[in-house]
Amino acid sequence: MKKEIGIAVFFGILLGLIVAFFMIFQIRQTQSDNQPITSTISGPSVIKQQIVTDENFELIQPKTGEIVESKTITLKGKATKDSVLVIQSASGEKIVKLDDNQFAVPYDVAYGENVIHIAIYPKDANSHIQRRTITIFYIDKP
Amino acid sequence: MKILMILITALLLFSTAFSVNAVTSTSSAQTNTLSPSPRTATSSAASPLQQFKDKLASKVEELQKQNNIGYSGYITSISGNTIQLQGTDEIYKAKIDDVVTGFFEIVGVAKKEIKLNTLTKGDYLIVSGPKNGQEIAANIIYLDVHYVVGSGKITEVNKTDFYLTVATDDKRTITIDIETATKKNLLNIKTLKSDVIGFANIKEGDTVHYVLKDNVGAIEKTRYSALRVFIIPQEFFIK
Repeated sequence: MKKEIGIAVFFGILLGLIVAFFMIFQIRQTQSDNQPITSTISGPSVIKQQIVTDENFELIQPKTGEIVESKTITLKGKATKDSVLVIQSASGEKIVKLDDNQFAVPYDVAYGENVIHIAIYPKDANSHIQRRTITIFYIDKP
Repeated sequence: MKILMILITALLLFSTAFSVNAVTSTSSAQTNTLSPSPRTATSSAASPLQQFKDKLASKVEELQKQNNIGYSGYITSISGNTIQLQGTDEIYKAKIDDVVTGFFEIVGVAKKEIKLNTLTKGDYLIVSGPKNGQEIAANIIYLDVHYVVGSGKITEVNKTDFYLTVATDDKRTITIDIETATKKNLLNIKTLKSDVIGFANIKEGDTVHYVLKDNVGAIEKTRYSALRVFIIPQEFFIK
């Protein structure tokens, strides 16, 4: 009788532990699926290589349609490091090599409407060229 | 036997409780790293005066944001105190107020006051003022010039008639007339500076960034006169 009880207790605990560990493992598996894709190349030293998409161009400022009060505006945004930024409008063009993945470029605008075309030419020839066109107004604020 | 069954059931329940506890402690640890700690609840709700002040502040901010946006388009009709404009993607109706609305023409770096009756169909306007649906309560209206700006690949360079055929990035084919007054610049791929060039330096296969005078009313809808062109030579893309 005692032997049977002991066996029952043992298997009960074992079953409970198996269920617990299985559920913890499933949760950890879900967490790791949400992490960025990384792969490691093994060798003398482990190098982490991150796959970066070229859809990294984001223009934060100014927003299209915005009325600005100054002849010089600042174009702020994010793009891949070492890309070449080309900005053009009726008032002229500007070329900037990005030393960082963030940029803040001063740009002179004309009085009235300014349609500004911005293109990012990435260093990697296999990456896509990203473009944006915005319209801002250098006029008196009402 | 009965005691044995009870014991086994109790142990299974204990194990399940243990595993559920392990799961909830893991997920709450995850939650704790992602979300900020909750604020302690105030014991009393904001007073009506404070609520009114907050509403007023957000309304003022909303109006300021609206006033900070301009709208532009070509005049399609003028009827009474309403000017209908065709924008790039939208139709606007600028409502004129005889007392409030000011009219100006942009001339270079300055503006010149004009009258409503000087505006005609086909003129390009900038309107500023609060917008409600399609209607804009026009505070100021500017008469301006519109330019088409974009980029593409040069597919033909005509050295006789001085025009370029360009496959644009938005999948159109356009003809760009290079006039004497057209500003022509080329990217120096070594210095990344802009060099002034002549028409002869432009080659098929180069990329062009262009600023074109809009051709509304023109017979050839895909032919434009260039205000300025900026050439990126194809060598820039060879790594």
